Formats: sequence, structure tokens, C-alpha cells
Amino acid sequence: MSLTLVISALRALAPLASVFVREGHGDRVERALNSIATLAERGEEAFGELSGLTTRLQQMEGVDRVEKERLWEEIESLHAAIQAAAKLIPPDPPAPPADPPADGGTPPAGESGGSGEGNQS
Amino acid sequence: MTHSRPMLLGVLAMMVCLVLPGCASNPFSQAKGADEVAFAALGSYQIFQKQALKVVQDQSLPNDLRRAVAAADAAAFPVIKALDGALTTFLDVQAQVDAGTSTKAKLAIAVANLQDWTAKAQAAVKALRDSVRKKKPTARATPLEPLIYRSV
Repeated sequence: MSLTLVISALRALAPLASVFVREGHGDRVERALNSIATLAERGEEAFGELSGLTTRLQQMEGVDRVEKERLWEEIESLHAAIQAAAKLIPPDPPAPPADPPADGGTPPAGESGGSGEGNQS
Repeated sequence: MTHSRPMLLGVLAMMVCLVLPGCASNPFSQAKGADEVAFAALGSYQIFQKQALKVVQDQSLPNDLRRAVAAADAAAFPVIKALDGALTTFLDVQAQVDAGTSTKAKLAIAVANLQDWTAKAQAAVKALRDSVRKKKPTARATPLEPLIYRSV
């Protein structure tokens, strides 16, 4: 079914896109498609559900009490699940001290060796 | 190949908009009375809660982000609870008015209270939505984005 929808969408869009390309606005077509792609990419998780809610509200003639109660129970349940999951997040490790390295660290440049001076005549 | 999936999703999203009547993923655009606007706020909150739960449970995400999302839910929940209570009161008073056991003046108070909590709830839903969406980089801006999220 989704493949049919995609093909239908492409068929519907193709003439419009080709007009823009023919008139030298191919970059606009590309930008528009990128925008739609980004939109879908960002909104893909909530998009479908928000659309479903929108459609439900369109059909609605006043709020049904039973439906509202069911929605509230889901909200309470999700809230409990979110807060329970948050308690499992491990605490961040303490930040490392900002002090310079203790003795035994890398010696400053230029102090190692000491050879070479005796070769001067 | 990497561009094919988002492109496909984009076309699909557009198809959904073409196929579904009244579609802009804006529940508030279709809500008619104060009770339906309140229901839209409750429904939107529940949708973003589902995303919030995924974020908080996702161990691959930064802990501070997961904590921020949980905190946004914790901050919003009392407001949403008050909204649910105001909606229940409205439905009760409306039923009483229909039965002739209450007055329209009381209904007007219930409506005002419901609208007040709905406004606060919309801000809470927006805060939760914003916290959830921080998990994705905002590398590219899109002028079409407000079509999805313009209401909350």
C-alpha cells in the first residue's frame, strides 16, 4: 500500500518539479525536497501520532469522558515510567582535578639529555 | 543511498498530508470548543511523553540530556494533571447544565478555568517537546518545520 502511495505522490509531484527545473529553478526543487526530507526526518516519530490526534479531533463532537479517562491513565503510566527510568540514569563521574601533573610527569622540554656541549672546541 | 531514506520519508509525509483530511499535524487546528482544545493539549502531551520515555531509556544518549527530558516531564506533569481535573469539572458542570441542575454562570467559570489551564499546559507541552527534540542535531533549518509543530 505504501509503495502505491509513494508512486502516486511521485506522479503528482513530477510535473510540478519538471516545470521548475525547466525554468531554471532546479536548485529550488532540490531545496524544497531537502526541506521536506529534513521535516520528515525530524518529525517522523511524532508526525504520525499528531496526525492521528488531529484527525480524531476533526471527527470529535465534544470530549468523550471515557476516552479522556483512558488518555489520562496513559499519561499517568508514561509519567511513572519516565521517572522510574530517570532513576536508573547513572550519576556523572566526578570531574578530573584541574591541578598540574604531580612529580614524575613529563619533564619540561630542553632539560633532557645534556649531551653535546662537550663537543665544542 | 544515504539520502534515499529521508527523501522517501519526506514523500511519505507529504502523502500523509495529501491523503488525510485536515492534516498538518496540528491537533489544535481541529479542536472546536474549550474542551476539545484541552483534549488536544492532553493528547499532544501524551505523544511527546512517548518520545520522552524513549530518550530517557536510551543509554546511548548523554545522561544530562536524559535527565533534562525527565525533568521536563516532572515539571509539566502537575500542570497536565490540573488540566485533566479542570476538564473533568467542565464535563461534570456541562452535564449538570444539560440536566438542568446547574447554571450557565457556573459553566462559564468552568470554561474560564479550563482555558487558563490549557494555556499553561500548552507551554508545558512545548517545553517537553523542545527537550525531546534536543537529541537530534539541528544541522539544517527548514521553512516547512512550523507546519508540523506550529501549535505546540
